[in-house]
Amino acid sequence: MEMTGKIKSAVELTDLRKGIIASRDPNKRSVNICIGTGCIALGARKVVEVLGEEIKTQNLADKVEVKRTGCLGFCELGPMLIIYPEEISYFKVKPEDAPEIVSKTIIKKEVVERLLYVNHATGERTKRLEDVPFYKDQLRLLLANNAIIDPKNIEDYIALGGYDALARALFQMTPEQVIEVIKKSNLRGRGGAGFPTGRKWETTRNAPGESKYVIANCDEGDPGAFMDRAIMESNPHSVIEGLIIGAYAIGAYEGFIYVREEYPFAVESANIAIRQAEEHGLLGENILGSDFNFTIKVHRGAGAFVSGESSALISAIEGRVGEPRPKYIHAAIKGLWEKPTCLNNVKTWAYVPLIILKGAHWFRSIGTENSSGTAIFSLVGKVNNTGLVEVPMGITLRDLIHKIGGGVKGGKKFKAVQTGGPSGGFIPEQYLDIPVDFDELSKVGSMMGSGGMIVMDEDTCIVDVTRYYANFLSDESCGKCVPCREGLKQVVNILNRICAGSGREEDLKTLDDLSELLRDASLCALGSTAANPITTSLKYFKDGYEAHIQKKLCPAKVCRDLIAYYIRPESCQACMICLRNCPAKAISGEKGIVHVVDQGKCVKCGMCVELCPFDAIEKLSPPTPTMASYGTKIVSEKGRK
Amino acid sequence: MWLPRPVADSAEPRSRSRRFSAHYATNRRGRNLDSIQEKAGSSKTEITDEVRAIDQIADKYSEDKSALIQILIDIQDKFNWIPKIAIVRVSERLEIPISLIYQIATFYKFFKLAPRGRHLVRVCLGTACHIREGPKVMEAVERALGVEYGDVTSDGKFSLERVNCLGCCALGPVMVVDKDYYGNVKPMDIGKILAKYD
Repeated sequence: MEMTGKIKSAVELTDLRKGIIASRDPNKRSVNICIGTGCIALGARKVVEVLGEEIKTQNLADKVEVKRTGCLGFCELGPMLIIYPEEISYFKVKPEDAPEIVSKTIIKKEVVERLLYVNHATGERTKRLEDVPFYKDQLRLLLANNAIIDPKNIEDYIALGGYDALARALFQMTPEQVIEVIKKSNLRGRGGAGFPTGRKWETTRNAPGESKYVIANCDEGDPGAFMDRAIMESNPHSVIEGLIIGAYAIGAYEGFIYVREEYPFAVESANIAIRQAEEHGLLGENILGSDFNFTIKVHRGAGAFVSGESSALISAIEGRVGEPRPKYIHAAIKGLWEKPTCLNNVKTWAYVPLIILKGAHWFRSIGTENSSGTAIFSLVGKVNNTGLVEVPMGITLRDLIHKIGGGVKGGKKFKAVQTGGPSGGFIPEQYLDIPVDFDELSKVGSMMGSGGMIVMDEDTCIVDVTRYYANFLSDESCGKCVPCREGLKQVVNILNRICAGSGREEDLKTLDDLSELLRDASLCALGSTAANPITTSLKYFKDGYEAHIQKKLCPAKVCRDLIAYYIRPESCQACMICLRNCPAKAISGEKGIVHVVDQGKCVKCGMCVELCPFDAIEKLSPPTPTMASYGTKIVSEKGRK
Repeated sequence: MWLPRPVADSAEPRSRSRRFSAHYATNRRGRNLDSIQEKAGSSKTEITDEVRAIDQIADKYSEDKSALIQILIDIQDKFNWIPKIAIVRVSERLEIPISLIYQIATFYKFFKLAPRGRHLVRVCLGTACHIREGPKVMEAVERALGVEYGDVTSDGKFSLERVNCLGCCALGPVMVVDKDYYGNVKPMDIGKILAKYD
């Protein structure tokens, strides 16, 4: 289907869609390869290249299409591809698998067994994506189309009914009716705070002023979350369509998409999508032939966590330092350039077209009473199936981690799950059955946040992770208000001290006081929520702190000042591998003589543990190994464990 | 640095750049900055290739003051860092005081005010990478290169930086050299990875 120029009416849009669908051969096979950041990191580009060549050499170019799609979410097993129409999905595909995929699956329609998903529990192989346990319990409203859309081709989005919601809003609904639908749908802001979106829109619409702005926040600074990146990279038009509908409802003529510079593919994808939408008359003047004008610009963020805070983000778009402002007056009244501004997360915007098309009632029917719709989490950390998951609100944490996530990696014991990034809290085992939604997570001291969900096992030291968050936040604090700037510095000092084994009894009380101060007196959410990891770790994992302070040991054997590497004389085979590879030259020994770690020289890098073929090296905490004296002969082959 | 917000808008919507210069027109003590800017504007910067490249970038954004951050990002993409001349030139072209540009360039983590090595090594220390032993990867890279993060090797070959999440948490720990991503990195792989670059 050739570009026909600008679309001038809803009818023309429908015609274009029909044309695109008609021009496509339903029997033409399509190999859809995920080229999200994760799969690219695992070599997806090379796979695409080799597969393309193979198809060419087999003279199949007119019968098979290779489509580069966005993120499918199961990054752990990338690069992954799906072959349509059979929907056969292959995981961990390597370039050298390409000839076999073409000759077997594409030509003979046979399945390459070894590339299928293997269920580790049952040993069963799964052909279709929906049958993979990771996907089975998901409800993918926003992510489902990622598998079938080429983000660089607007026609793919239009063919799936894209921009239909926009046509409906522009020609069949008044702005007030659009807001009414969003209000009724009970859509809440997916940036983390969960503020009702319809109410925000209404306030912005009713605020006095001619020029108004809408902003999509894709400044996903939360370390451990990447769903905004996935949506922006994979389905940018869903965000753009949402923004246009929102702008129409609010009365804005200019919009911004704020993407962080660390996501180069998302920036590229957004720019291409905007250009294509402009070419099709979906952005710019007289959108779809109506009298509504609207433009979108991409603003790249230059790497500041605090700039994801709404008022700071607005400052950043104005070209200034991204520091938060006091919010006596809300951005909906006076935001960007002092004009009424509506800022929502990219996920929030992406739900809008769906709600307009399917209705508020449909959206409300998903999820819980007060949190409608789905939630997207990046399930990462020590869990078997890591990746992006989209689930209806109200699912329990246990189902998320054990059913979809496939349980804790390596059969280790679950310790905690951390939601909401540096602003959220640790949730222990006893609360795994709470339903996941905005309100329930807050009740246990955490929050929904942007959707990071990090699973921690017995080998994770909660004190260390708390220190990590405090360090991160102290680093990212803009320094404008004292509690955050100075308070976090003290928290870091104390936690450093505890991790080094010189914690004091009164430190826990001081940490508690400091977190109260942070919560009550900080200017923005970066400071006030910084207390969450501290309070929850103190509340649920106090024994971990006490072990560090009183017994000078790290139960998870993470804090380096509290551990020692020790070679068990009875297991050492004197193979010299650790000795040769030790970067600190801290291991001594020779053939036939048990190797010994010199604790004074050891830098605790752990390289020896990784390399030892006999599992003879272990971590000890407290660091008081009973050392084999140098010269001990190794135990004979027979006596070895 | 605290600056007064622009005065509430008049009935007539003003152009964005004028609104913005109103914002920068007076500093805290009410001193007019225009005279300083005039001085900066009149000082003749020698037109070198470097300056021409900077001008091109400024032209792309039609000297829009609010595009300052975007202009600096483009300059860094072009030069790999922000040279002093760039700050001076942007100040002249956009009529923004050097101090304010410097404030922006030091506030945002992305901007580098010192030259980088030929290859950029970034190790992710986001939460997911942190609990999957990202810090050990960082240490191994530091040992291999003989520098701490934030520094450049003495031969100018590598710059080492830390990032707070690259959004590929499923593959943690992750490191990126130039545009090549490496997932599930082990400390002992570092030597092999770095040897690929010269």
